[in-house]
Amino acid sequence: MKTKTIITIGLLLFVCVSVAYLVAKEVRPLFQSSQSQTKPQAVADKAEAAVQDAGPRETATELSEKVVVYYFHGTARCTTCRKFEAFTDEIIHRDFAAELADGRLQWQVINVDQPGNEHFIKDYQLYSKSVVVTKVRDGQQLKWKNLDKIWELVRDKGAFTNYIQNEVRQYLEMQE
Amino acid sequence: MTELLIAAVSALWLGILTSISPCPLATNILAISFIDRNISKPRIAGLSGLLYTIGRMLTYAAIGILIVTSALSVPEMSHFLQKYMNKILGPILILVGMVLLELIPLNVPGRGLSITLQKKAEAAGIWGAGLLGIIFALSFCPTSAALFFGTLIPLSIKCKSGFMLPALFGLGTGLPVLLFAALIAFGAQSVAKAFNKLTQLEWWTRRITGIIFVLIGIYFCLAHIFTFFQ
Repeated sequence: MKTKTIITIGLLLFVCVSVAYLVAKEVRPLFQSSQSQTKPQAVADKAEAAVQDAGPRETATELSEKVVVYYFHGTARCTTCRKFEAFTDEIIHRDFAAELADGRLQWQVINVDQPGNEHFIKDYQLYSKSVVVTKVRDGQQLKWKNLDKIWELVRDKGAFTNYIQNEVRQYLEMQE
Repeated sequence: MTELLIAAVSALWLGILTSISPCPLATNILAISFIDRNISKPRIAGLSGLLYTIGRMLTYAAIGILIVTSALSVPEMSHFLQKYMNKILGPILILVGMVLLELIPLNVPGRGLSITLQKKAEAAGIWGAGLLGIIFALSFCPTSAALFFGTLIPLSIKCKSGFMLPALFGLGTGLPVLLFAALIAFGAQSVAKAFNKLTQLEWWTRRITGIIFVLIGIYFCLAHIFTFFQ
């Protein structure tokens, strides 16, 4: 009977702490953003920093025309999601090393749950973890594509590799 | 007409695919163990399975109608549900597990429940299965979100079917649980004869189910709220 009471209290405490931690974590950014509304520059800096911190970013010289490949994920990760990132990272570094080095291609991994990165959800209509390829000229985004077949192909690494290679190559060779 | 029929079959198939993808499979196994504890009461097990599936169907249909008939943003809704439902799920699973383990009394405490109270507890269990269906359906994870928001919703918009296609998808996602419940409902009599000790077995299944719910609940809290295992 005593053990039962201890387990009950322990579990109830764990539930309360979890809920309190969750609420505190969700409310804090709201409170902070309302405080920093008077300092828009600070918010902009934070947003920029959030993207910068989000993952590996290879930048060589800034070219007027480039292709940016993004991998978008959330804070909670899963095995399949990690595979998307690992496979794409491998393909980009192995098959597009030259383009990556001279700045024609950029590779960014972004956590959309981080403050400042939420706009990507709207920008690229993200409904789940996604690989997105974009064409940028003179700072203007010309075209983008969500490579949504990754979900079908993730179990077949060869097909996944071909798919990413072809799409990225098409964007690199695109003349518009 | 043929197009709608093909879409309907696709929706059901997408649902089945979802039901066996890692994350919904885990919730379906939870649901099966929730129903499984009524192994000596086939009618209740059957009804629970049915209500769990109906809960899933109605949830997906409600989301489908909301999206098809309004200008609600698909990416934002998908992101919101993936971000928050999995966080809320942890504490809910622990509490359900505690009820199953009788750590939290839902009815009047004490042994020797009267028949009416027992009936009430059974009814609560059946409706609980329906509620579980709704909560589990709302807890989208990457694969189910990709299949639902990325494939099924565009199909529903194209066919202008906000209710039927998402409901069929829901039926697909609950099908393993429904089949299992049917198996208990129609097969338990012979099992009962074979074992003749089902009440004792049920005492164990109830406790094991409770422990599974508590453990998975703790895992969900650690993974999604405290963001361990990153």
